[in-house]
Amino acid sequence: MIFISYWDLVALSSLVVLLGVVLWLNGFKRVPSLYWSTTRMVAQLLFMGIWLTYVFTSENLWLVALVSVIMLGAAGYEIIQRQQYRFAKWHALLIGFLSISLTSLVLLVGVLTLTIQPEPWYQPQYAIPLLGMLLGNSMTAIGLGLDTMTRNAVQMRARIEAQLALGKTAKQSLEFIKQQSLHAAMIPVINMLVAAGIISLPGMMTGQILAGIAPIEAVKYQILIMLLIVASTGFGTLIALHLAGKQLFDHRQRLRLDGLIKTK
Amino acid sequence: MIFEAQSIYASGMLNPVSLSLSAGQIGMISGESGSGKSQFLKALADLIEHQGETLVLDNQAWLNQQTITPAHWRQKVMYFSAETAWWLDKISAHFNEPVSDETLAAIGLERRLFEQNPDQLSSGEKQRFALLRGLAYQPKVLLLDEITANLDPKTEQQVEQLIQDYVQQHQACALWISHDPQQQMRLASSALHWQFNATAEGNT
Repeated sequence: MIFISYWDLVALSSLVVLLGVVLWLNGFKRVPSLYWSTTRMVAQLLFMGIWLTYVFTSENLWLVALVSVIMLGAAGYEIIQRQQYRFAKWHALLIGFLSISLTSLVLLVGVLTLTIQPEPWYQPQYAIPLLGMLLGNSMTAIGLGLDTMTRNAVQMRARIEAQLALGKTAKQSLEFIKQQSLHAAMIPVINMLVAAGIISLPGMMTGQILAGIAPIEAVKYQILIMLLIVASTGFGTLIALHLAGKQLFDHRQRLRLDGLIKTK
Repeated sequence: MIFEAQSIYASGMLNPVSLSLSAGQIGMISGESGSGKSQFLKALADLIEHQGETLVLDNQAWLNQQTITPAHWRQKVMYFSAETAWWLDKISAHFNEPVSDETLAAIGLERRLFEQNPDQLSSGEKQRFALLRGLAYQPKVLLLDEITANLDPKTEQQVEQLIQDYVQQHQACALWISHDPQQQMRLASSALHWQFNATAEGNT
């Protein structure tokens, strides 16, 4: 494989600098934020590279566990950061963290011990990139699903209360919003499946092919990843919506929107 | 059947209110805006947090909010809001059973409206459909929050008649918030009257 030098990357970064200037000339106000995010991306990835080199060589279960917990925590935090309305801090973190870690971790451990079976099963070269792929995708879907649910609950309060007044249960009264939230979360995933291989070459596969792996082997890994992503986003969203739906009502099945805090 | 409310207090109300209604009675509630009338009715239906106890004597047994599920209670003690809300695409989809032509005609509704999208109907039409939607569950206590606010005088009286007939036939009772002195007069023969205001507790 052909190695890229740091100077190549510096040269390529001039593209983003140029883009920033043109955007600024076109009246785009958030150029500093573009530069800052780009810098952040470079720093985070470089740090990840150095850190992973260390973790890979050590093959220590506890080190892998520590990296996983940090990744899960960050994903849970990012979920609540993207909400227009969020639950009082403690509940929000718990909903994000539980829903993403329950599905991603179970699937990851399952696929490592039963399907890929590296030796040992927690070998970081497999565990950490797989977890990263699952988290990145579930995070977006769960965030979208939760945001749709809480925003609609606030906007369509009267429709929920009208059903409660007719003697429907909290669960029944929220059903129409749950459908919309599932829809919002799952449609991007379904679109991704449809586009895979025709419109888009998925990032992981592209990376493997560039690194010199035979395309058909890269494709098999990509299919495995796609199946895991679909399962983890779907189940993760279901868990998140279930937990969030319960938080919207009190023990007497009364709608309690005072537990939601508006953030933006 | 007897309906009793003992020292009900919810936020927005000035004082706790107690009242009692027996089968066939209609109680009128009036008072200034912001005196907590709607909050009081919502508390009776257990839709909002409140203090006090609410009881219904049903088939010789006293029921209160704690002994039956919230959903069951709200079907017996039903709140009808001033602003109606619809969550499905057609009016008819909100009904489990078809409504008879006589019932529709009795409150001036046309059959074709039944298959339309709620957004296409006037608020007065929606208020009447919402009334039928609730009555289909055969509630024992009707909590009516200005449900004739958007109706013309003729339709208003048709709705009053429908409620009076329902209350008689089903041995139910009703609590009715109204700002209209004439409506209070019309229903006065069978009605008890509570005044919500800045200083006084509920009285008859």
